[in-house]
Amino acid sequence: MAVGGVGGAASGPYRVQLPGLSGKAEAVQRAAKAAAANGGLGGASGPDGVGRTPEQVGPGAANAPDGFGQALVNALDAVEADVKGGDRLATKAVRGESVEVHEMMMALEKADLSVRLMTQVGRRAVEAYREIMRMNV
Amino acid sequence: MASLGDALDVAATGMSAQRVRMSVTSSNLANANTTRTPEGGPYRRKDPIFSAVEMDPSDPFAATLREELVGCEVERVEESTGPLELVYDPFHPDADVDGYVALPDVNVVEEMVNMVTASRSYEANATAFELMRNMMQRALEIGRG
Repeated sequence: MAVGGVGGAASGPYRVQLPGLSGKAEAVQRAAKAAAANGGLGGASGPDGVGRTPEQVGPGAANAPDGFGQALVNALDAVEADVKGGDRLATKAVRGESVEVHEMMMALEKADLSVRLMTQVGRRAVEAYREIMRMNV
Repeated sequence: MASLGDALDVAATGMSAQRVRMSVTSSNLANANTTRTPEGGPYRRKDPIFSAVEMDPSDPFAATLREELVGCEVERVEESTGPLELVYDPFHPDADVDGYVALPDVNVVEEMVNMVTASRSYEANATAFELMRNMMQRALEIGRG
């Protein structure tokens, strides 16, 4: 149920659509989809007050070949390689096979550093995403 | 360009090289009076030869910039060919016709100094690794506050 005029009130479960703003929201969504298709961020959608559907944002993020999604995937691959290396050496040491002690400890430290780096990258990516979602267009 | 892990690998190669040096020194000390070896003759003092090795030879750009990381590896363990120590002991089973026994040319004092050097170098490389790791952890905290 559409309520005319600025400052319309919400009634029950119905979504309030302020005229004028909806046109702007659609324009933003179109621009965001175009940016996602060009390899930018996962598509950011409309301002507060207009219902945001997650499925508009999700496919946009998945379709972006470069950008934060890919950066996260790269970081995860590097972390997995480092952690696996550390795991392999630690298992060899526990089994009693000859392994250089300092190499094993260094591999574990490198795995720890990679995990921290990945955590930071993920945190920054999520923060940037939230910042863009908060944009008042 | 050297990545996060390559700089830490340099410290690892240093520690491995010093551990080899320690093993060789302990072999020399254990065999300071050995007169029989499988190859025949008395034990000859062993010496590790260190050589510098590029950590990332596949990156020509880094080599051009002279930024390549240089690690340390043990090229080979060389046996000494110097004169042996001759001691007069005619009742020794390995004495030659003149009554002289050829003992290894291992100087125990020199080997002790080598052991201390290897131990300190090992610790220095471990400290370098830890400090580099601390630097990287500090960098990861930029902007957290």
